[in-house]
Amino acid sequence: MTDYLVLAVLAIAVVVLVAWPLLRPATAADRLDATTEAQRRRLALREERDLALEALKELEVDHATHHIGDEDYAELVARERARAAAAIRALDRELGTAPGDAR
Amino acid sequence: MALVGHGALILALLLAVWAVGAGLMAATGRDARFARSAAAALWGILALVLVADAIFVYAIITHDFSFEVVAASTSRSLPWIYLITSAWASQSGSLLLWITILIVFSLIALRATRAGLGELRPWLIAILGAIAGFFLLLLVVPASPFATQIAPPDGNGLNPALQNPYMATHPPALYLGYVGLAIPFALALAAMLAGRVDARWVVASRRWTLVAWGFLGVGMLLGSHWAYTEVGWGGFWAWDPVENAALMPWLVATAFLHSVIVQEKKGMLKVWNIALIAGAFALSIFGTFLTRSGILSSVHAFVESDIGWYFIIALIVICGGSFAVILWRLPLLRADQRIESVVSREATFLFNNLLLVGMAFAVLWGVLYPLLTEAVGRVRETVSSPFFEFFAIAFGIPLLLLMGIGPLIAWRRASLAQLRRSFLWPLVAGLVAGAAMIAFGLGSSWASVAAGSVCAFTTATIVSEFARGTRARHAINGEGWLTAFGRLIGKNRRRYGGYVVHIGIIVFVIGAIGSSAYETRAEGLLLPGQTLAVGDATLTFRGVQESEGPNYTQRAAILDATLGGESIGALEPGRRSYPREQTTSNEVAVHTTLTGGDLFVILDGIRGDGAVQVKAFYKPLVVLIWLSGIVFALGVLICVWPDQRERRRIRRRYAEEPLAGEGPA
Repeated sequence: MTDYLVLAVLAIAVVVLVAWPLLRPATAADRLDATTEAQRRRLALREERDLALEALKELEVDHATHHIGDEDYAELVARERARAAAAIRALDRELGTAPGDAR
Repeated sequence: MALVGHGALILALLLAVWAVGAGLMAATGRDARFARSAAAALWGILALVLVADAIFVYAIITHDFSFEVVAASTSRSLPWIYLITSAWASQSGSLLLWITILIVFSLIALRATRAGLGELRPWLIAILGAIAGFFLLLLVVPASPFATQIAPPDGNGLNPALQNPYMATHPPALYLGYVGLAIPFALALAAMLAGRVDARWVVASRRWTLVAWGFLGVGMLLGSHWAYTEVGWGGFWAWDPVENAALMPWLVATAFLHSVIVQEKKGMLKVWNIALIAGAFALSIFGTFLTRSGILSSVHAFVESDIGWYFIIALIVICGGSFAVILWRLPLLRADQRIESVVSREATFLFNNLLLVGMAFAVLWGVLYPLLTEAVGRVRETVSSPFFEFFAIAFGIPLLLLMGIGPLIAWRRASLAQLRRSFLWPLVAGLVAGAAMIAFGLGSSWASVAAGSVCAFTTATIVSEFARGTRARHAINGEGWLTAFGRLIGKNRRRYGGYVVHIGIIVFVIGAIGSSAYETRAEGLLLPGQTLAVGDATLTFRGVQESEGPNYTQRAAILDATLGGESIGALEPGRRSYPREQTTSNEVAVHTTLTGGDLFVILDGIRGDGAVQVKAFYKPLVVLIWLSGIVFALGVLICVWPDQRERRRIRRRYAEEPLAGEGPA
């Protein structure tokens, strides 16, 4: 009998636990909006920007530790800088801000 | 009490079903209240599973033999430490451990990956709920730990091989690894279902895979040491299907940990990485299936087993579902860049992946082959160690080589001049090591000489990496040598932690080569006063000694040992007889030398006239195998330690681009 009582208490507790968030009516804050296409694009550009900046740091380490020569370093740094700049410019266009205002 | 335990698991199963349903409703209906309810369901599952755990452990320590599992795997005379470890010795007990770890990991993952998950979160909760539901279904229907009977006066006891302190650490470590792989799988699948192919899931998956992979690696090594000291056949790895069950997901997870770097840095291998994550998790489920379904003893045992078909269905769902989702999201998974040159770091990562996955397939084939031959009606044909060893050498040596080549090659492409400069000294080190091995009479095994040379080459590349990095910091920042070395690791934890792991692998390989290719062995029947020589050691048999343990009687051979003419005391290999379990076990005697070798003695039998059959080995460098575990764990710890720079970068990225559905679990 005690076992059934314990189980009943556990059952009620878990029902309350999962029902609690649903008991109050939904508000606008409960709306789970999907990531919009524009957000996806901006997210991809921010990633692109961060990747390029990380790559620049990595190149610096590789150059300092003689994994790449001066010529390759100069070329690859220019390429990564251009990549970061392109991402930042595209992000600015997406946000409709001047380059200096980019978030 | 059993009723409460069983009822708690049924309630937990219902909550798991709710977590799946509410998670899906939140994901498709865009209502965050359902996501919160689904997350609450996971917390509820944790509470209920802990209730079941407490009842199960209480039944074990109070010798409540009305629980079938308790009677089957414990006895009144079992020492308390093995009473605790018996909790995961049984099928249902180990599944209870699975679900406990899974639900704790799930809640930690939900909490730790708050930033940036957005609409991926409800999918993640639903998938974690589905995995939890599968294991709860097993615990409720075919493998309940709460099945009861009329209590016998005593239990059957625990298999003596499992009465070993390693049982307190080896199975939990392996389970932490197996279960841990569920989290990156759930993250990857949730990301695909939500159509979120940005890097957020990749970063979280990488960290969780590292944790699971680390535990799997340490768990396998602990298991090797258990087998070495307890099973007592003289080796540490027998390519047993149970060992292979852990090795396969570890190999695939190793491949993922390398290829994910290429995805994070270059935006390549996206489909491949999801396939690897799904493959590693499917193999972890396959491993649990292998060890728990009875299929290893025979296909017929599997057909009669209670849980085999559940696992088969789960494997079909995991593999089929992952394949379908990848196919569906293929257009979103295009590579951002292409490999420019085969002589680049990304290319070496790709080769490394092919070798690791190839090795995992070879092991899988070796495990499946006996089952397939039996299933098609032929006599069961087993695959023995030489099959696995061939592939371990064929894939292992090139992998060791790539471990040395990869770090020295730059991303994108490498020039010939740079290659010459980087590889000159490591190549010299490799050739000198090979020549030295041959000169010192160690050329009997070509594979060992090749592996030894490659180990020296790779060690030289890693040492040069640390040296170059430290020198660069010293020169650029003016830091002291020690500070420069510390900061080099601290500020590049993934890279240099990875090198430490590589050192651990090299130490392991050297230990494995030394202890297996260059071991000496001898065996003989000894009467008191007679001696047996093995390598530099001699063993003189003095007599047999009997002793009583808490739940066994032991008869040990007392052998006075000398090494290089010096006495090292008595070695006492024995055989234990367990009356409750009605079985015997071997207790090996091991003396570790200062040079890292083991004098390892097994007592094979005691004759009526007092003569003993003794088998002795001298295993050079075997200690390095165990030492490698510490180095490996240290490397994993360095890699997995929170990287504040990465954390800040992710926080900033998602603060700039806030997504819906962020919040606590």
